Amino acid sequence: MNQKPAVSLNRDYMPTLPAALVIGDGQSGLLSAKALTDIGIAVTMVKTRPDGRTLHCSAPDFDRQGFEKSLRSVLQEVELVEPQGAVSMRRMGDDFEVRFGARNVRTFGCVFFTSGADMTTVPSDLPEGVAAVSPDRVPAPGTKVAFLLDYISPSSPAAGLTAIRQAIDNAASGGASFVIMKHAPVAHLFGEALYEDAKRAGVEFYRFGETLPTVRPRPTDPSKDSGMCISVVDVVEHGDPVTLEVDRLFYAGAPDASSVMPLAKEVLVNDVDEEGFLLSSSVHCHSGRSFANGVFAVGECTGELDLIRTAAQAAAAAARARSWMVRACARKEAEAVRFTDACIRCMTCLRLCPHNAISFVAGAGRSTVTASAAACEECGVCVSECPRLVLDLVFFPEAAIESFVDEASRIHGSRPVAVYGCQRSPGRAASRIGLPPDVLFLTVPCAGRISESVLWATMAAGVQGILVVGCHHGNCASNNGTDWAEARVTAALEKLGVPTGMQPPVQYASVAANEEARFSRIVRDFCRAVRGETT
Amino acid sequence: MSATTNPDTHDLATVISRRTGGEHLVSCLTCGQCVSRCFLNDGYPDMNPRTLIRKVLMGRGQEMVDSEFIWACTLCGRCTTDCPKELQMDVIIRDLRGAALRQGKAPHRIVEGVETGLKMGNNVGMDSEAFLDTVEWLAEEAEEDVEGLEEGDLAVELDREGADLLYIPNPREYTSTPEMFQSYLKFFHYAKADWTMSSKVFDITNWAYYLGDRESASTMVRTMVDEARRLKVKTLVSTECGHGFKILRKDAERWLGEPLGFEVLGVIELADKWLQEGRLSVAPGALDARVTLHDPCNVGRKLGIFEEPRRVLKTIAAEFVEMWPNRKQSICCGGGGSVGQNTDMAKKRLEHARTKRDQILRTGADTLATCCQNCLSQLGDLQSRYEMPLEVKSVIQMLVEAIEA
Amino acid sequence: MDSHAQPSVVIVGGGIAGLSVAKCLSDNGLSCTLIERENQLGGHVRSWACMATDRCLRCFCCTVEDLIDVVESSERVSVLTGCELESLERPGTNSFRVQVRNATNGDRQPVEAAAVVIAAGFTPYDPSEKVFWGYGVHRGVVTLQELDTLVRRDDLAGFVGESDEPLKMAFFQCVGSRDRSIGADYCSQYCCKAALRMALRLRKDKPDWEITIFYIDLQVAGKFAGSLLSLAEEKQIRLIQGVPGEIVPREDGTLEILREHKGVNVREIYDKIVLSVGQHPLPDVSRLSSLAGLETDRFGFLTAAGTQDPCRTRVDRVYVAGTVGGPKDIEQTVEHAGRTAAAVLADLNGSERTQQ
Repeated sequence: MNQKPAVSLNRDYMPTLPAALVIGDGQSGLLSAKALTDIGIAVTMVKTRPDGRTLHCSAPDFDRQGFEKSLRSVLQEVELVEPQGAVSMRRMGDDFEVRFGARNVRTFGCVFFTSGADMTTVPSDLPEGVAAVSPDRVPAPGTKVAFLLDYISPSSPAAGLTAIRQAIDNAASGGASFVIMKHAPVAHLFGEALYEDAKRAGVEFYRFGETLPTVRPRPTDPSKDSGMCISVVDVVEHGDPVTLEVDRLFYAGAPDASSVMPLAKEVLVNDVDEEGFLLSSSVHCHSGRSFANGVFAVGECTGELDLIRTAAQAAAAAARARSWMVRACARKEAEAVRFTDACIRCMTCLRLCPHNAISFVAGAGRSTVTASAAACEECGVCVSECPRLVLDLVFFPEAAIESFVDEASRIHGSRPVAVYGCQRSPGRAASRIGLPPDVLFLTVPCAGRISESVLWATMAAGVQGILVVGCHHGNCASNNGTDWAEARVTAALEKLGVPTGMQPPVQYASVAANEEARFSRIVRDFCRAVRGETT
Repeated sequence: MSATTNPDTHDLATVISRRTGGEHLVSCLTCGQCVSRCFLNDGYPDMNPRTLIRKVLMGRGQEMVDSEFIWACTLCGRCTTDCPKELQMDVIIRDLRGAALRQGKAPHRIVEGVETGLKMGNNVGMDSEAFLDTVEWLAEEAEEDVEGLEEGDLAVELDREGADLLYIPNPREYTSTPEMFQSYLKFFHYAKADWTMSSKVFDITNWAYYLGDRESASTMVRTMVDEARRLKVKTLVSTECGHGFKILRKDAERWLGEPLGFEVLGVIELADKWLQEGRLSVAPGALDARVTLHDPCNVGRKLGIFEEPRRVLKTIAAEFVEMWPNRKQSICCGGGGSVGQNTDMAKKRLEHARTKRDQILRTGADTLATCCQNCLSQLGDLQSRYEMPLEVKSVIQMLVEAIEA
Repeated sequence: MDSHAQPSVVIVGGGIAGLSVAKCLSDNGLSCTLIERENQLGGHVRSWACMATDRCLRCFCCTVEDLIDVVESSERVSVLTGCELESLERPGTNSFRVQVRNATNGDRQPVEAAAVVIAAGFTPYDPSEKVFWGYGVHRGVVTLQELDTLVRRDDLAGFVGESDEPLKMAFFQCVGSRDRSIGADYCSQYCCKAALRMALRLRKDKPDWEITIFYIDLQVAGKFAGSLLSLAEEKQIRLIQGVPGEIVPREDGTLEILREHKGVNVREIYDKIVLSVGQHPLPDVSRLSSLAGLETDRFGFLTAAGTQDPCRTRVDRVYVAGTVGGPKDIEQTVEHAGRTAAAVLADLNGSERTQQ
């Protein structure tokens, strides 16, 4: 810990913060715990299973033993919990209510899911005896070893660099090392130097192209072995295949998403990427942040990472977790979403909220549904999808849309075109360009707020067309607000039954904040189309 | 190691790497840039510098030792200019040639040239007496031919100790192109230079360098260096000879492992310097010619002498046109690196130089100038083979013409 | 300004790294002073285009707009644009006196700081010296940054013309990266992904263009990066190992290259060639490093404390964030900046503990 006297900075704004829960006690968990305690957040750590996975790190100045020792020292600063039975959690106001088994219920300000991911899977068409590259599995000194990268699918660069590091060490121990690859992994400041060092150390590199190398067990000496013969056509040399006979073949793969812990997938149900790793592949989900405010994920459970990146992710996530809790303290009394008594507690809002802001509080008499003002980002998805229409945003109430529709209806003689655009993307783009006077533009917090009923009300006001513009798919700050907007436009059009070949009066589009010229073109083209003008 | 690689030739990669500075060859990234920059790509469609390096690294270097490609390469160094790993193809090729030489597979004409050079001090087998006669006779002839020259003007006292400059010619000058040799005599005369030549060492070339025979190449350099020291000159002046000049300027100290103790200048540098200093007087644009320059690989790319010949030509000629690409990007004439002297390559070297021919023709120049005897020879052959409507001249030759105009 | 009365964290550089640090620290209750040399915040990223096709390709450019809004509206961040760090003194162990100079009017302004974060960024490699590629000589050869700016301005037609004829465009990777001959013997780490995104972005509007990426080794680390590779294959982006070493202009303005294909040398004609230039250290990085008492590594980037502590430096309470410490893509930069912010928080408020 830091021993220097702390400089007091706006100490009045340093409220007492709640503790953080770190689920997982592997390296990613320890890195997260260290990052949190370093910035003054108390940590409770849940022991999961001793997966013993070691993160890849091939930096030349990396002291693994020292690093691991300092990591273990974190254990003295955290509260360790060994849960009896299943762990479950849910949002409770700004906090998270976590159950460790039936009786032990605790509250935390934020939750970190951490874990490495399984990298031991070897493709089934490789013979038995081929082992996965791991920082923990060093080849026997002085042997002939080969490392196979990019076989079928690209290797994790972290694993690729470990392979190169081990190839160097093996060559230095008097062995022979071969690396068979499609792309040399060099994406680190030290990557190129490591690659060069390997070549100087006598490691031989073979580069294959479209033709995959073939691997078969070594025919000689069947008693001992994991010996392999690998045939590869070097794509630069274009000659006959070269056959390498080695004592051991290591395969550098990629993490396996199926090893991500089920509880995390349950909590972050809308927040996994294409491959099944935690956190959406959204620009808003970096540095361990999820769309579910207060929930973070660190380590290979979020995809391919090495130790350096994991440590950065953990530290950045800790700083963000702290600012999340500061925000939660500051907004304790605030209200973001208003629920009326007509709420029947159907839980639609709780299910759909991208930010995990809604909590259900069971009461003896009457249970209630509330939204955390800290977690709410005012996307309005809940308001738009509430089947009973009993929700409203406090800072962007229904009344704001109503007065816009009234304005449209007041000037409907001029047949204006209404454009709804989210504040983040089209809103910013619009601020840099002038829109035509017969276009009425309303900035909404998120395109997800434009419900089908808003579309019908706007049409009823007599506008010539409605354009709903959100962020690009996968770019929405509320994960799927823009997808909701498109779905509602599609639904409305289905009900309208626009004949094919006719310009639909309602249209969805997506832009980014810095695409003002494109936004202007989209508006112009839409206006012309609904007015029947030729372009 | 592998079922198909030969351990003997696998060593070739190690040998080359070691000889060229440890990490040299293995550093190759297979980035592919050299592939595009080799002018032999049409002549050898299935070979290129990258493939060559790759084969050597993969233990298939013997294929390369046996290939014609290593003898077709002109050591122009264009392929590895800007190489991200600073590999030098000419060094790699010379090492492969060295291996071929040891296996008795080097071209006879070059091997004989080296033997003659080592024995006689020059590759044409001329003795001191014959050289003295030739110099005397050529000087007298030139004195008669040129108006304004008096008898004895071009006479040069050979082996004069303490002269400022020791000029070492290329045998081509006093054998096949005597008018060229006369130009140098006149050049030094007009500049009132304090100069001499050696009666023993009168060949700047170093064919052993072409063969990758480092020992013989060093011996040849040692001979020239010793002669300059013996004569106590301040400066050794290389004629317009690419590789000879480049070796003395860039490699000699490293090869001999000691400082030379004198300066090495190219005659082209002297020409530029003296012209700028007004030591030579020329009416600007004295030559009514549209002239273009071929940058010799050794003088240009390897020594960085680009502007000197340009300044001279721009001063003396009515019009100067650049050919493209030029300077660092200049394409080899096709006759360097022993290719010009290798009778086995006599036909192919003219075919391989078609890109150069087109490049020259695009300029529309009526005079093609350069400052390397090897280039002059090859470009002259190209001119007659393809009937190019222009004259090929040395820069010094043109300068002398301009002075006399 | 009142906010300068109490010490703050001075952040040098208002690009994506500096903005990220400012946001993170101010969100955590610290006062920051952000010094930006240009007249507006946002750095390089502000001039780059959105790469979205029918979905976001995770280029992160839009996030700079989010950050600028947050930082400009934050009462805890004083933004000084058009200003440079002039001097850095250390009157006490844990306090700095920073002199900021306005580049336009020469006004000087002192700022008391408790910590200094250097987030000055990088400079894109200028490939003019690589004469064989003819950048700045052949029309039709541009850098990836220049193409990005053209797309950002929605002005691709200004570069490729209005013709409907399908175009052939090629990207050359590792221009100014992995190049010992210019002292840049490192991977710039963002160019492969940037070129893949740009190729896909162009493909969206130009389905019939032939788009080729010439690479040495494709580096596609990180989230969604693998998807970029498979999308490129799906969208018929040609991916070819080996970068042509020379561009020869033809009379009709097209560009000829020569490469090896399956063991045979072949010539190909392209209309436009894009050089994916790497990240190089700032030209005045040595001034910054000597002002702050730091060192630069062999490439010229500011040296951090080490692999395990890449944000702190050898000088207590002086930090680096983003590409000033080495090449990074935007996501890595933001993450690195987050880690820097965490280090600042730890050092300034580390002794304080939350309750259990």
